[in-house]
Amino acid sequence: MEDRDAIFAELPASGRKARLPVPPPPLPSLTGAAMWEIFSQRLEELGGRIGTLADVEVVLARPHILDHESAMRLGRAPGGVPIWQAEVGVTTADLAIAETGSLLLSTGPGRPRMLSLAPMMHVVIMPKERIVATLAEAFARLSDRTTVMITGPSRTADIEGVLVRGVHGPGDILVVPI
Amino acid sequence: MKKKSGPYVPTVERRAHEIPVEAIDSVRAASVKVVDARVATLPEQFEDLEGTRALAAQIKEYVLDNISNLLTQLEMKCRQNGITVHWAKDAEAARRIILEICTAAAPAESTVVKAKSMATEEIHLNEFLMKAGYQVVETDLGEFVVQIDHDTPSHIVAPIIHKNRRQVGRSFEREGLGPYTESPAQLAAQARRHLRGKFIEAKIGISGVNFAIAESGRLVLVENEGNSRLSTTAPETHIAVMGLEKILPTEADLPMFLKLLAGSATGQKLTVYTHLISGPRRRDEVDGPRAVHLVILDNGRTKVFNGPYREILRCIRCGACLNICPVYRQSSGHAYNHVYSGPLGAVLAPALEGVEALPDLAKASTLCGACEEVCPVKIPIPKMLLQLRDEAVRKGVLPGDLSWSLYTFGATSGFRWRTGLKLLPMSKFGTHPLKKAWLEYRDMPAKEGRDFRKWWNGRS
Repeated sequence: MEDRDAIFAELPASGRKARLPVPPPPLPSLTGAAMWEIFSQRLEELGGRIGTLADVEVVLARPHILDHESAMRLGRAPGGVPIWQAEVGVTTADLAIAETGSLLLSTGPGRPRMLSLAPMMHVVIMPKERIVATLAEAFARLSDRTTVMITGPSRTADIEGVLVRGVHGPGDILVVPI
Repeated sequence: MKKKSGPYVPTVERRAHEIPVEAIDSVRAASVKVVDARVATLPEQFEDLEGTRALAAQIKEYVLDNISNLLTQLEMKCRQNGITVHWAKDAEAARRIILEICTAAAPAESTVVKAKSMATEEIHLNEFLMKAGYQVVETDLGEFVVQIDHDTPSHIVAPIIHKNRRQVGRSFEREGLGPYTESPAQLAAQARRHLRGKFIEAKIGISGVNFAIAESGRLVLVENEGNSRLSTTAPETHIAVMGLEKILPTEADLPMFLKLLAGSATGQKLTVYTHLISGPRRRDEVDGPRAVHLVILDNGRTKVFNGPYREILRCIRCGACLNICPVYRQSSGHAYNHVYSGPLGAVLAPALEGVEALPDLAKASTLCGACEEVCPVKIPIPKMLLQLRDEAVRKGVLPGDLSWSLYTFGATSGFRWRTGLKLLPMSKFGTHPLKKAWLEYRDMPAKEGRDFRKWWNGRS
C-alpha cells in the first residue's frame, strides 16, 4: 500500500473539468434483413462465411465440441471431444454487429470461453433477431460477464505484412443465422 | 552503410548507420503498407474524422484531469469483479509484485505464457522471471521470433517489422519448429503447433491492457492472433500489467476508441479479438482463470502528469506516428535504443526517464509534423520535441548548435549582416565540413548577375 499512497500523493487533484459528452450513436433505421446483408458482406471481407444448418452437419463429421445452446438446437448432447483435440467448436452468440461484421459472445453457464478460441474452425448458430446495426448499440447491451467480440478469423501480418489466417485462434468462421 | 565523418551527429542517426540496410528496407516497406491501409480505412470509418480525433483527445484529457478519481473508481470496481489490484511505483516494485504472484501460483520452472505488452517490455519482465526460474514464452508471432532470436522489438505494434521471411524461416529451422520455409502461412502454422503445447502446460498468463474501464472495472485487450485470449483464458492465473494512464471513463467510450485504435494501428476496421475481462471464472463457468491480478504501473508517469510533456499520456499505442515518420522509416526502432521508439518514444522515453538519461532522442525528428497529423488523440508531438531539445540544451546534456548561435548574432543586426556578407567569401567557410558534405553530391551554382544591395540602392 506504500506504493499506492506514493502514487496518489503525486497525481494531480481530480475534477478540474466536467464530463465530456459522447456523441449519440447513429439511429439505426435498418430492417433485420438489411442488417444481415451488411453483416454477411463484412464477414466475407474478413474471410468468414455465412452458411446453413446443412453446412454445419458436414463439418460435424470432424472432432468437435458444442456449447449448450447450439447442442440443443442441433438436437445433440453438449460437449464432445476434449477442447485441445477439437477441430470444430460450435457456439451461439449474444449479438451480431452489422457495421463491423463482429460477433459478441459472453461467457456463462454452458458457454465455455475456449470453444470459440482453441479449435481451427468456429461455427456460430444464432437466432436471426440477435443483430444490431452499430458497435455503439452492441456496447450499450453488454452483459456484465467476461465477453469477447470476434471480428473475423484469427490473423497475423507480422511476417512482412503478409496476411495469414488461423494463427492461434480459428482460421475459419461459419455463421448460421436461423 | 558506414558512418561518414563530420561534426556533431545525433546518436539516433549514428546508430541507424549501424543497422543493416536489409532491416531498414523491411521497415520502410512495411510502414508504407500500413500507412496506405490506414489512409484507406479511417476516413471510411468516420464521417467526421477530424471531429472524432478532437473528441478522442478531449476524452483522454478528461481522463488525465480526473486521473485520481478514475483510478480510485477502477480499483473499487475491479475489486467488486474479483480482480486483485496491485500498485507499483517503479519497474522494480512491479517485477517484485509479479514474482510474488507467480511464486504463490506455480513453482519456478513452470511455463508462463505472455501476450504482447509494452508495459512488460518497459519493466524488462521476461529476463527477470526467467532468472527466477520460470519458463517465459512470448506467444505473439512477432514477439516469439524476437524472443528466440534474443532480439528486441523494433516497433510497438509490429515487433519484427525489421525482419524478412527468410530470417524468420532460418530461426524456426534452427529452433526445430519445422523444415525451412519462406511461406508466412507455413511459418505461422509451425508457430501455432509449437505454442499450442505451451498454452496447454502454462500455469500463468501475463498480458498488458489496452483500456481499463473505470465505470465497470473491466479490462479491455485487443489483438488479432488469439494468443492474448489464450494467454488470459487457458492458465489458472492471469496477471495484467498496465500503465496508470490507460483508463477510459465508460464502456460507451469504447466503440470510438476501438475503431480509432485499429484503424490507426493496422488499417483494420476493428482488431479480430476485443476481450472484455470482467474478472476470474465465476462459480457457474467452466473455464477461464481462477485468479486475475491487475498491476497498475507508475514508473515515472506521475512525474509526467505534473510536467510539460503531460499530453504524451494520451497515447493509445497505435504506432501510427512511427509508420509515418521519415526518421523512423530510415532508421528503424532499434536506432532509438529504447523500448519506445519513433516520435512517441522520442517524447515518452525522456519524459519517463528524464531528458538527462536520453538527451539525443528529441533530435531524431525533422519536425515535419506528420506524427501530430496522424495521431488519433492529437498529441502535439513536434511541439514537445522542441521543448525537449530546449530542456536538454539548457541542462547542458545536449550541445547547443554553435553555427546557429553565430547566425543569430549576425542576422539580428543590419550592420553585422552587411559586414558578414562582405567578409564571408574571404572566410574559411569554404572548408566547413557541413559545406563539404553538402557539396559531395551537389554542385555550387556559379554567381550570376549583379549584387542585390547595389541594385536596390541604385534603382530609380
